[in-house]
Amino acid sequence: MNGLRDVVVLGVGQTVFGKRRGVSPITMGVEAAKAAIEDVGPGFDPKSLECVYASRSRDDTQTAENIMQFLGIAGLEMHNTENACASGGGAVHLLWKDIAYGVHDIGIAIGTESMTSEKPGLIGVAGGDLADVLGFSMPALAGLCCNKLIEECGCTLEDIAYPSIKNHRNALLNPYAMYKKEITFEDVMRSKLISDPVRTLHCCPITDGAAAVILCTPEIARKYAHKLVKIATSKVLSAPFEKWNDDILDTQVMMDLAKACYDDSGFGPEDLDLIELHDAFACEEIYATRCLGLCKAGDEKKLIHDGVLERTGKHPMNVSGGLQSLGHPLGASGVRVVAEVASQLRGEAGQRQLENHPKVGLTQMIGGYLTGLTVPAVGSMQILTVE
Amino acid sequence: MEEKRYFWDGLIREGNDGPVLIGHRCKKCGKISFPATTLCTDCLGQEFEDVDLPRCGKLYSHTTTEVPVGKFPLPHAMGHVIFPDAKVRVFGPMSAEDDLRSGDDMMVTEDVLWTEDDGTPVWGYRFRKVEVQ
Repeated sequence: MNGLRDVVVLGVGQTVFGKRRGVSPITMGVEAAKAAIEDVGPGFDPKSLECVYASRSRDDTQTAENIMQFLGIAGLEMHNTENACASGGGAVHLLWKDIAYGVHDIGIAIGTESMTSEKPGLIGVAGGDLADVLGFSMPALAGLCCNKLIEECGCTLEDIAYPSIKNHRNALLNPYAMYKKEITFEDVMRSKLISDPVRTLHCCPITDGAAAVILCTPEIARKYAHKLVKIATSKVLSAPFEKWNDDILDTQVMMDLAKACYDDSGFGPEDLDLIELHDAFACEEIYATRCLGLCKAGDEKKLIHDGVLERTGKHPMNVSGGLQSLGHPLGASGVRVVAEVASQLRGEAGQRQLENHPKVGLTQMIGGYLTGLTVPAVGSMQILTVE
Repeated sequence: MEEKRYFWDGLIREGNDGPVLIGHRCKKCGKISFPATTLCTDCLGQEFEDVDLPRCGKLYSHTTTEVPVGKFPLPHAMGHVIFPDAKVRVFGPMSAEDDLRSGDDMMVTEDVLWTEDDGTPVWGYRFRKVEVQ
């Protein structure tokens, strides 16, 4: 792409995502980073890392420096990033950029977060924003979108629940998932109403966890791996300003990211063998299909009913179990999805490995809300491919 | 009489026919913003004048939150109302008694949004469904 250097995934690691009360984000970050280092292989010296990006959306400082000292690594360029739900995608992106532009040859991105240590309540929007003061929350945003899907796209409550049911089924195969239990439509409808029609089982659980990926040049990677997974493109964008007549289901930041990633990589929606994306709320998968160009607006329901997003479908979505089953430690998810897609493309995803030898995968994380911008306010996206 | 306490200053005022929301029109390009801003996002203009938004708009989106959020009494209905003539979309609280559906005609009213622990009512705007002939 435009004279940039190729960037490949050298190692991936993650913790189990679940309720780990009392375990600090640093401890989890160390666990994920160690797993990524071990994943590279016994001959790998972590002191060869040249830079570190850590992502964490909640308070505290120096997360990268703190994690790395427990791995015996200091004295490097390190940064800490925050970008709401897309924080982890941003850490991966910055590392990708460093290597693609020739600033560094190898580095690690680590995402970590403890959500159980927070005060219980709905995930809100930027403090002091008009909508925040008026009681807006992320579940309320999902409620607005669900009612649009029902009133304007012919979706039923069964359709809205489908991604949650599918992703819980997918998670049965994922040892890192918090939930390994199938759920039914009746279970969803019996769960507590949060913001109509969104119920508890449409929402991701509150979990803690961390993930890490080591990226490098192909020259370095060839010393350790035979099958190189390349990050063909990576993007981070803020949402554009909102227009009074925008369609709330046309997630503008996701559409802009997808266009930029398709243009840069030469891949298109028809090429995507798997997709891991932000399904903090089940309905997000439904309108993501139009935003990613998998179908036209209004055809989302047909796509679902044709099984296109199933493990066995043309575009498997969230085969990990997604945020619906792993939860959403905010800083970690954007790194975890890159680790997940890389594992699938290598053919090393264990029980959950897709059988059709996936060649191209897309990762996406979106989040945040600011009055004046289209919703959500920020996003990250990568397209990965295997030789 | 004690002055009303509003949750956010400069959003609503009493018009000739009832309360209206105050839009903020860019003197350079005419774009109307709500709430007030210091910079026009279309032309970067920095001079504005207040304009009344129409009293009625169309419901664009809606949901009702059933679990505690801020100090709002539950259930807490909210959503977006669009004012096509002014080309503005406004997020705000709705009346939880209304059976809402996108496209409904909505009127802005002034109402108590919540009550502080010391009993002080906090005022703001709330949209209510109306039948327009």
